[in-house]
Amino acid sequence: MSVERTGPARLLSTLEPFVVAPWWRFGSLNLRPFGVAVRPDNCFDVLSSRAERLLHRLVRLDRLTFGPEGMPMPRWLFVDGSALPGVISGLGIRADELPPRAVQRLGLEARPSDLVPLAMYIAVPARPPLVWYGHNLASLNRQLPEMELGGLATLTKALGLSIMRCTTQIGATQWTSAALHVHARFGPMELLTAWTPAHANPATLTYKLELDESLLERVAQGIRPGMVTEDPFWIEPRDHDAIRALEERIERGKRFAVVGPPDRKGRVPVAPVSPHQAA
Amino acid sequence: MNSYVVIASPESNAWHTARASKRHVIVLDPLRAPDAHSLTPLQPPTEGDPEHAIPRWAVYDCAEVPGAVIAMLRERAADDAIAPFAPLAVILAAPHAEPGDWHLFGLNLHSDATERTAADLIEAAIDLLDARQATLVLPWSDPTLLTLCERLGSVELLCAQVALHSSQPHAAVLMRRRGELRPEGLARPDLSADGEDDLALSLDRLRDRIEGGSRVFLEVDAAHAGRLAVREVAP
Repeated sequence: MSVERTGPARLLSTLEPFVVAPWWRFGSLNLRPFGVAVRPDNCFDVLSSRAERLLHRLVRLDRLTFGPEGMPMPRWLFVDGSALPGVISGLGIRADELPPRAVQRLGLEARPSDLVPLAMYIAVPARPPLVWYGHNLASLNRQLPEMELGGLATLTKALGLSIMRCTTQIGATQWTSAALHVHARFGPMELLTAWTPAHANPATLTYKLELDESLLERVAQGIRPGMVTEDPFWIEPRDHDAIRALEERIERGKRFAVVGPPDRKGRVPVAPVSPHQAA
Repeated sequence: MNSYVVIASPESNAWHTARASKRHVIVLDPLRAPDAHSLTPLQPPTEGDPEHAIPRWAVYDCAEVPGAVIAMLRERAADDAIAPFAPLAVILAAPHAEPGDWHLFGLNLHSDATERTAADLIEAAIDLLDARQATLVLPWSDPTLLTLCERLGSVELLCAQVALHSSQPHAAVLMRRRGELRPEGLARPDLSADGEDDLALSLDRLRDRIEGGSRVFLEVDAAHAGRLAVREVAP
């Protein structure tokens, strides 16, 4: 187990958490994740006019993170498929605290005192109130290298799941995605699918994470879980035959999990879920 | 009686409620490859009008796995046993964080749907999801809004102009099953829109009332056919 002592603590002390949801939801959310209070004026009712400018910045954050060649989400889905049924949470900073000219460079429209989101996590409930489906994790770490935002995506996801009081998180990502490095920090990712024809890219895995607050806090502190098993088999992300074969085993009732981050060659470690883990 | 297809994963409550429904319904699991190969004709359009087009991954992430896609099927000829699913209308659903509450969105009607189809599908969706109440975002110009008010008695207006729906003004409304939403309050003809020119002003006034703490309900205007009346419960 290794500990990163600088990044997350510094990010939590310099950035402001924010939450976007309908007004009636705030009472059931954890607005002191890891002991850090979400300021009342950083709680935005998605149906209020006050949230509108922030929502536009969140759309911009999504476009900056995933780029024009990515998989942009229609703007209206930030309401209908995100903040209205679920929660958008994240970390931001006041515009006048950004590096000079960063606001213009990023194409953000913001007054000096406005909150500029630097990262967000979006999830909708699957089986409310404890099971959530995360579908967007965006961060400007790469776009703002001068701010040294390393670890921001992981911290944002941990913070969001704590705010949502999530104990089971479901999500989907591509076998080739760098996001696997983030998701694998939250423990073994049980595979619901390995090959997913229902998704735009069939080489997508659907996973499930079992969580608790202490685990989220450790992840937020930068503590890496390490490999869960010493003896995984490795999935080469472009070996679609192997991925399909794994899917067939899942559909026959076998249970598998991604048990660590991809290695330097991009191969993903997978192992059967033991009866102990399944329990 | 219409038939329905519900696409929902076992991770969603819709998987269980749809299977328990008394309606004629087929449930498909997007997590299983054999079912997933049947989904294409049931999808909302992925290209075109940006208010209705939705990428394939977003349907999976925002509806199929956590919630549901609900399709109303056309009636098929008796000898048409092997035709693929032919939907008349499709709507997406995501559960709210409050158990029993659902959000409906991404309504798509095929060209031969009638004026009643959308409201029929919305009512069926509420039933198939066993929803206590449901929210819906739709354009003010959509006749479905009036039809829903006719059928449900009234709907609560949660937001007069929903952000990021940019092509035309959209309302967010809350629907409860018939008989459960009986607003008292004051009729407010001054808050109703009297034609398109008046709409923007009316929406600003409605937004101000809601953000000022009022609850606002929409119902059919008994005195003016085809028009919505506004009822306000002040804070």
